[in-house]
Amino acid sequence: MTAIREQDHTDIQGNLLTPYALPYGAFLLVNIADGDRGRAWLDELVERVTSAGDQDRGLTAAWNVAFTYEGLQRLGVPERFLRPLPQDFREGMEARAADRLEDIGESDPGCWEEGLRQGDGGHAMVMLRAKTDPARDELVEEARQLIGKHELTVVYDDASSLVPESPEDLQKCGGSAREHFGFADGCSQPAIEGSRAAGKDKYQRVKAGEFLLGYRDFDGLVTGRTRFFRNGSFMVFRKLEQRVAAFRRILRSCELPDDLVAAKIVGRWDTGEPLVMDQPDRHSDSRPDLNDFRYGSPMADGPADDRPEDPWGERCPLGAHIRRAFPRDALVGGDLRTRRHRILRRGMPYGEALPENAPDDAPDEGRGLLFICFNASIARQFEIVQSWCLDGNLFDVPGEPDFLLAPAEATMTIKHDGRTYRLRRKDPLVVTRGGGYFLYPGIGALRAIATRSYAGQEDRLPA
Amino acid sequence: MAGHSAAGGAPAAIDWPEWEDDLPGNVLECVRAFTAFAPMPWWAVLLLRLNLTVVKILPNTALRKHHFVYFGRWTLLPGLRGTGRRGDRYVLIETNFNGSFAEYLDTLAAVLFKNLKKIWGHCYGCPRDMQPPSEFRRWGRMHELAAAHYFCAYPEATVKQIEMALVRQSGGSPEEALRAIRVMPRLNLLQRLRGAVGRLRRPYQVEPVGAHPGVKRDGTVVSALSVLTPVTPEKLGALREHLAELERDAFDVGGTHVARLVVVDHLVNEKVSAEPLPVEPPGLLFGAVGDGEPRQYVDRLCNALSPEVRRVWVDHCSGAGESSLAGYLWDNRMRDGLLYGGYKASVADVRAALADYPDPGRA
Repeated sequence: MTAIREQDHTDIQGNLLTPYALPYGAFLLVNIADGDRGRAWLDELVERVTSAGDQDRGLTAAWNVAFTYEGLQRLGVPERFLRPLPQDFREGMEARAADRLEDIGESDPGCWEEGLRQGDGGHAMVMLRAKTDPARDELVEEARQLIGKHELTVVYDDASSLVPESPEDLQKCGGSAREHFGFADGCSQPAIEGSRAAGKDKYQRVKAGEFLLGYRDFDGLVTGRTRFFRNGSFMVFRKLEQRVAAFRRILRSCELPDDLVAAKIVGRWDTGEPLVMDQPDRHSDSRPDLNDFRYGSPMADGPADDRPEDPWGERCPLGAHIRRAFPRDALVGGDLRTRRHRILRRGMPYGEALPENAPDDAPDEGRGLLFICFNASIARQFEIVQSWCLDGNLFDVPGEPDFLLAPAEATMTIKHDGRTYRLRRKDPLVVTRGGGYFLYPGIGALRAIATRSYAGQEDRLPA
Repeated sequence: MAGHSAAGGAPAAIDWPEWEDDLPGNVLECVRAFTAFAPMPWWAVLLLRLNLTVVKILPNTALRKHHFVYFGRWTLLPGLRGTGRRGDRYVLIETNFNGSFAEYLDTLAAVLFKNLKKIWGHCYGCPRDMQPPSEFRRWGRMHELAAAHYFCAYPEATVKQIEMALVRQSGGSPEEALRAIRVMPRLNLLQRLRGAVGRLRRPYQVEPVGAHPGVKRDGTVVSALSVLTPVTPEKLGALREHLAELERDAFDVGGTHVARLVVVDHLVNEKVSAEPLPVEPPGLLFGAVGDGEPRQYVDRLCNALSPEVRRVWVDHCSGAGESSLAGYLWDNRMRDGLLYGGYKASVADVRAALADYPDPGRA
């Protein structure tokens, strides 16, 4: 199946095809101690779950739910559905944290927050979104009552909110807004082909099967072809603490202007404009397409098209964060290589913004990003993107991991006006505080789990 | 054991296409080994010989441009008994690269499909089209073998790090080092001819076409050696145990850049069966790249190997105790092949360059 049909919109959970424009969020990790109680809870919850179709009609609040592998087991999902699930999902994030994600040092799972470790029993994640802060609190209260009614427990909860500079910023960046380092986040989000969000830029348009189970991907393969899995997706959740004061100190340690150094580290200005493009008037109302550029290859005979490029990293450093997270045409193999490694990001910042004059990051007032992404294969998509962020070799800066994300000490080479500068830091700027791998099922599958009625769920869908 | 995919044969519909992980045994810090035996009909050997000659004559810049392969060797070997129809032949590929198995094959499929078709195009089951690459990955995994022992003299360094460090050590600036891995110089006719003659005369030697002078050091010779020796069938289990107990640096002697020992007891010939077929008698593949001419390297290596390592052959392989180990390995070497190398420097030079310039991009 290649097309997302109208009826699929009522089955796909919200926030997947397009991001919610609801700025207040809450996340509750629920322990499913008993399968019967878990299913009874889910049976009531599923009536509240927001679909993509609901989203199309406009929302004031949203409910969504995802499950770990153990969560699905506890809910009694039959073994015939569980057995073929991919190894990455079955193992979970914590088991793969050291080897695949380089969660070491302060990011080691041994240091993760209570409730966010695999053994803490967080089997289901309930995600709530609202338009206002009080509305979010009401949703959380309602969700907690529902969980308590069925004698289940919440092992972890967190609240988050987008930090928009202006409503225009929020709109231009696809529903995300500023994260704590001060950048407009999520400027380069892929759009699912056939969905209403699909744009014109070929770099942003991605086959449905790259994110949605039961659809064709770029290789022509269909992941999870049975009715049970169709319209679901795999969800990655990571709580990432950001060390804002440390970040600001590094900016000040360089002789270049702070905003320029920050932009060089990320590869975009704080407002989202890419450095590959000529420096725009960032205060102008009219802004260029934030994704109409490529990196180019130094081995190419000439530019492939008239879009701006920067093969030598004169404007956007070779090791900049955005080159790693989405290398476009920069890797060997070009677009054919990178298009199979995209993720749909749906994260939200948590914690209060650090005041400009704060001398240090207050350890008790953590702030950062509740990172969420969707993909059809965690190993092929999220884990590969993470490995790109930690590997300088691919980007011709051997020994230089992503200056923002590297868990240990890091260096970064940047160029400006013909001069080369070198940034150094010892301590991490971003620390993993916990996370997990989840299945974000279609609403039909949620009903099947809740009622244990799997008739027809094994049906193989036509390719 | 063959790194056979769980799917076995060619599934018509893959419900959960896994992103293939590296086989245990093929991983050493950032270096990976890939060893695959792919079968082909006897008549395709003639075409392969012709194609290998074409590859030798034409400068193999496609692979060099991308700087992720340390060394790679293609070898044509006769049919192995019990693994297929009479007359079938196998082409063996042994590569050392940085990255992961799946990304390696995806990259090959994206940028080297013409060369791959020349070498693997007539092998049974090799996808005609390399895009999308999932079928090619599946085929590669089906024929891949895990190394029982794998060694690299500098496993912490990627190809780009090595090349940049060598440029820096030869007096190059950080900018020159960066250019060495980012720009492929245009080759004039004389350079092309010299390269072609070199590869035709000495296909077992490293000759990185178009490399920076610091990466390609005059007077240095680096050669490949691939040896397939018969294992006494009843000693196969003991051989495996022995290989598992070898020290990690067992081959850190005699100027060895990389070395692998692979037990070849099952191979896939999908023309006969999608399941691995037993090789009778089983074989032990020793593939290495070392300093000097091949014969010099073998002699130096065998003189320096510890008794424990020598026992790998002497105690388990047919005929190994009857003559000197160097002579035994030399007599069982595979002659018909082609070597690619990303750089041409001795082990000592590479190690010294990496020690002097652990971060070769830094001024």
